[in-house]
Amino acid sequence: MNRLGEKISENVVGITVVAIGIGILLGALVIGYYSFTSNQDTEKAKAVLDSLEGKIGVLKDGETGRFIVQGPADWYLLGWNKDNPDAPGRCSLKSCLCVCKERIVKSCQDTSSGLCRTFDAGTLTVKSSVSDGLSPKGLDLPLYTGVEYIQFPKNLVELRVSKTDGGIYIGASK
Amino acid sequence: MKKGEGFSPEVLLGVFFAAVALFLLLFFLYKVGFNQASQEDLCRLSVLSRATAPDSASALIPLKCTTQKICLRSSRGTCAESFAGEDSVEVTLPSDQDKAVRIIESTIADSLYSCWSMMGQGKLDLFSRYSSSMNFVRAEPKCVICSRVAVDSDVDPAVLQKVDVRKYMRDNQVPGRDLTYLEAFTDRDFSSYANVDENILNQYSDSAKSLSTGQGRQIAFVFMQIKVKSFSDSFLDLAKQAGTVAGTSFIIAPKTSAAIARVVAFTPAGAISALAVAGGTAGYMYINSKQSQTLAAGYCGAFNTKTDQGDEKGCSLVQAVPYSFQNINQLCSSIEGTP
Repeated sequence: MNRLGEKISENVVGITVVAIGIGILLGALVIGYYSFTSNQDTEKAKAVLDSLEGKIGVLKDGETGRFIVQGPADWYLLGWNKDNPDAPGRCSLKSCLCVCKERIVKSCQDTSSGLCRTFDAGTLTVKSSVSDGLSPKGLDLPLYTGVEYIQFPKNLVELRVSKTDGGIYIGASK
Repeated sequence: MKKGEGFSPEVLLGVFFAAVALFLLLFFLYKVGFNQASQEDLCRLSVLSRATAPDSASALIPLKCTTQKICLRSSRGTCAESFAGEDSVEVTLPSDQDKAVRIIESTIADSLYSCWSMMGQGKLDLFSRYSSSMNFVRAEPKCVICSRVAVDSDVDPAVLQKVDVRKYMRDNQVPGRDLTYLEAFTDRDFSSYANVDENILNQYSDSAKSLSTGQGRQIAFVFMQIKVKSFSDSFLDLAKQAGTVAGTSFIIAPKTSAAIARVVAFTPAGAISALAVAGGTAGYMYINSKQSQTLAAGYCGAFNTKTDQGDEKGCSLVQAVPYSFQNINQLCSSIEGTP
């Protein structure tokens, strides 16, 4: 019995040491992987918003510009007016443009699945090329009523941006 | 148990040093490693990582390639129309037209070559997935936009009309190499490689001239790859994998596997079902393979990278296209990398 107890206690120590070593190694590999891959979709979303912010800033009132963007595939471009109480909290009651993984406010609020940028405009309207009320994936998704969207394809999309009467209008070219 | 047994100093010391080494590695990865690496280095590393990963895992490795933006401008230009809100490298063109032409030609040639070189010179399979390599889905052309070159509206269009990229690539050497750009593309050192024919060279030159007239005066350098596996190869691979699975299941659960095998082989319903599944799968794979080959032939045209791996078809190429979403989307079903 004492011999058995000794053997078990020796093995437990060895196994524990090995488990800790493997755990640390796996942790290093996982952290290294995520450090390397980071979140490319979020980076693309930021690039889209940076680009749009710069290009909208160059437009004068009454002008329309066409801008090509490469957004994260299957994410959405959504916009809210400054008076819209249902806009994501991070919009701070300003006109707001967001690139989000899903078409719900919660997705736009979470920094890992959505990014937003505020604009100094009275209205900010995003018009999709899809008819009102229709969702490409069916009506069973939590579609945010009243907010249209542009879904980013796997390649490029051309956005038409108009500045008129203090408002910004964004649509997708077909 | 004797005191100290199982907790020998050597073991503890070894664990301690291993933990310190791993901690330093973690610190490096977080704080120092990839943040300071150049964009090109990151791209190359990600390309190699993905190319060497198995098909089933390659999708997990993103291509960390960021589109480089180059603005060719006069002393007062900013390329605001093209690159507002984007980080770009600005190249100021001299007032001397001939010197300006040379700079434009070298910028375009360097962009073409670095795109080709960074993406593996057509030798690496970057976009293959298990589903497409098995012909479960149709192969599609996939791209990375390596760079975009824009010419500011202040630059005289007459300068752009003088640009001859084809001649420049024939007559000038790649920096750091003893080959001309054209020789580097055709890669005298390797036998199986892409051929840059006259059509492609003319296209490069035409794209440069389009800078004087195209929308936004911008061209994009796009690496495109489409790879198609023949039906026979993919079906053989599937058969091998099925055999491996069957063999493994016989080792793990011999009685259950034997029972299933008896049902499949010795009952009419089992045999017919198995044949129907096999036939249906083979038919589906055959259709996808043929459609993929037709698609690849359309995209690749006279430009084909032939490999020595059986009947694998498709191509890898760098295209210089006027930057519009129609042009790019006609070429690319999907685009990877960061804009």
